[in-house]
Amino acid sequence: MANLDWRNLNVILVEDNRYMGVLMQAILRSAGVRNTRILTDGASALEELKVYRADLALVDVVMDGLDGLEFAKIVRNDKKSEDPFLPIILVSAYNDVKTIRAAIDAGANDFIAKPLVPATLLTRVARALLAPRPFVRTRAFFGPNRRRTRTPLYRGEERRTQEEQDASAGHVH
Amino acid sequence: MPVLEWSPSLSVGVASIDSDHQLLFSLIADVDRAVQEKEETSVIGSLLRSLADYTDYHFAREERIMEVCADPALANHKEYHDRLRAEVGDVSHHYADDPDGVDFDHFRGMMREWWVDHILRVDVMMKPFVLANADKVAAIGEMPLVDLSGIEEDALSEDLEWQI
Repeated sequence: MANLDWRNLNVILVEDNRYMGVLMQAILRSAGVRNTRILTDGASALEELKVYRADLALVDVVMDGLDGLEFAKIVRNDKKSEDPFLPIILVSAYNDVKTIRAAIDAGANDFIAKPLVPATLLTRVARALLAPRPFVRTRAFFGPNRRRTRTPLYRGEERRTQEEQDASAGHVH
Repeated sequence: MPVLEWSPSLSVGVASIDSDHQLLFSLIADVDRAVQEKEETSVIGSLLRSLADYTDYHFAREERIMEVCADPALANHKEYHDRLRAEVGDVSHHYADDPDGVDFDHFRGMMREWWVDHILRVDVMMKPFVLANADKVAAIGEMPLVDLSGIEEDALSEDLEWQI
C-alpha cells in the first residue's frame, strides 16, 4: 500500500504559463501538498533551489530562457548542482517521441503530456517519489535508469562497462 | 469580474464542501479567462479536464456525505449532479475533439446559473444532516482523488523506456 506524506512535500513548479502553474498547484493542494513554489523559467528555478529544499520538480519543457530540458541537464550534471538526484517530471504539450526521448536523455524521471489530467499528475508524482528508478552514471548520461526493469531476454549491446556499473552502484538513490 | 466568485454567503456549513466549491469556482473562472485570452488549446484543455474531474470528485464526495448522513434528498440531489456531470464532461470531450466547436458563452451562463442555484437552493439543505453526523462526515472529507494503492507494483511492471 502506497503511503505518501503529501502534506510535508516541497514541490517546485517551473511553468511560464500562469494558468498551468496555478492549476498544477491546485491539483497538488487537493492531494494535501501545502508547500509549493512557482517559478517561470529554468534559471530562476535553479536560483530557488539554492534556498528551497524541493522534494520534486514539475517542469514545463518549452519556456523562454532556460527551458525544461536544459534545467534538467544542469540539475543532473552541473558540479554546483544543489541536488543531482532531485526527482524531475517534465511536462509538455509536445508529446512526440522526439520530445519524450529528449526528456529521458536530459535525466527526467518521468514525462507528462498536456492537456493535464489531475489523476495522472498525482499518480506520476507519487510514482517518482515512492518507486524511483535507480540512478545510473555512464560516460554520456547521469540520471534515472532509462529502463525500469531489466529483461533477461535483452540481447543488445551492454553499453555500460563494469567500471561504470561499479561507480554508479554508490549513487543508487 | 470572474464568472463565479465564492463568498461566505455561499457557505453550506461543511468545510470540505465549501473548499471544493471554491476550487471549482476558481477553475470555472480560469476556463472563462483563458478562453477570452485565447490561450493555447493545451492550457484550456487542461483546465476543462481538471474542471470535469473535480466536478465528478466533488459530487462523489457530496453524495457519499449524504449517504452516511441518511439524507432523504440524496436521490433527487444526485439527479441534479448527474445532469451537470454529463454537461461538463461533454464540454471537456467536445473541446478535446474540436476546440473551435464549443459554445463558451453557453458554458459560462450555464455554470453561473447552475452553481449559484444549486448551492443556495439544494446544497444548503444538507447542513442539519451533516451537523448531526460530524464524525462520519469528517472521515469522508479526506477521500483521496486517486487511489494510489498498488502504485509501486504498477511501476515495477511498467514496460521499458516509458511510453516510447
